[in-house]
Amino acid sequence: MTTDSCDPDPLGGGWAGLRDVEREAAVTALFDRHHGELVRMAVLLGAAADAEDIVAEAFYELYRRWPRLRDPAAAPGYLRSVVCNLTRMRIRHLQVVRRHPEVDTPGPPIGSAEQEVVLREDQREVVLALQQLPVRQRQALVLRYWLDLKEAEVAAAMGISCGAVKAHTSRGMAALNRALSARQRADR
Amino acid sequence: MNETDLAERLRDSLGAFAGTVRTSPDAYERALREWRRRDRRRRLVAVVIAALVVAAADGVGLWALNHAGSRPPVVFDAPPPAVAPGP
Repeated sequence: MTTDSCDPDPLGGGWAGLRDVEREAAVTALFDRHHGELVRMAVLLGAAADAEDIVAEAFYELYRRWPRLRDPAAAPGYLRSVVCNLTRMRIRHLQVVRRHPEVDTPGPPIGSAEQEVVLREDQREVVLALQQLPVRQRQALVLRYWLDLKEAEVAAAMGISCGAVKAHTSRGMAALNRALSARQRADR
Repeated sequence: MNETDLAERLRDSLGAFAGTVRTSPDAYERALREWRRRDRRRRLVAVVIAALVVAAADGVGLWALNHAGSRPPVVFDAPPPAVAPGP
């Protein structure tokens, strides 16, 4: 019996192996393009030292669900959404842990030597004020003003409606304004 | 501070803060190793579960066959009809 000319096993693993190679190549290309931006986004959202782990987890979720992804163009939005959810979960976990003072928790996310040197005083004030906001408001502001996403994209990333995005953004900006004004008054 | 100024200040601060973030140079290699390890583990678990289900189904089937021998047949319990002799 001769070998079929359309043998689906050029890589030694059958169709499944071929699919795995394609999946890996696609996710690798996305990793190259979006990893840095997602790590920065996770840090801005409050993930601090866990940012890389959270982003790696998001990429694994994408890798696992790749065959079920309807449109590869939706992958960046999916990754943003997973990073937002995982960061929110991490912050909630830390909030619970901090209620138990006997457990050591990481310190505030801002304050590394490089950040102390690079950030100006006014920038540091904004970042500190942002970190005091509720998680949803912080997410809305970071996605809207740092990533410059549209309201619908922010809503998709956060898994909420456009109306809720508007509400979180406006409340977040108002709270930020109050916090910065209070700080300015205190400095005088 | 009006909203435009605040938005501008927020963008500037977020951009500066994001600029301080550095990623590990070996992030991709570590992530790839982890994806492959977890994928292998997931497949292994799926194979073990499938094998357990098949073994359980075999066991139940053999048990049922073993206990069915002593009972009279349920479907064809009448004696077979007499076949008329051919021409």
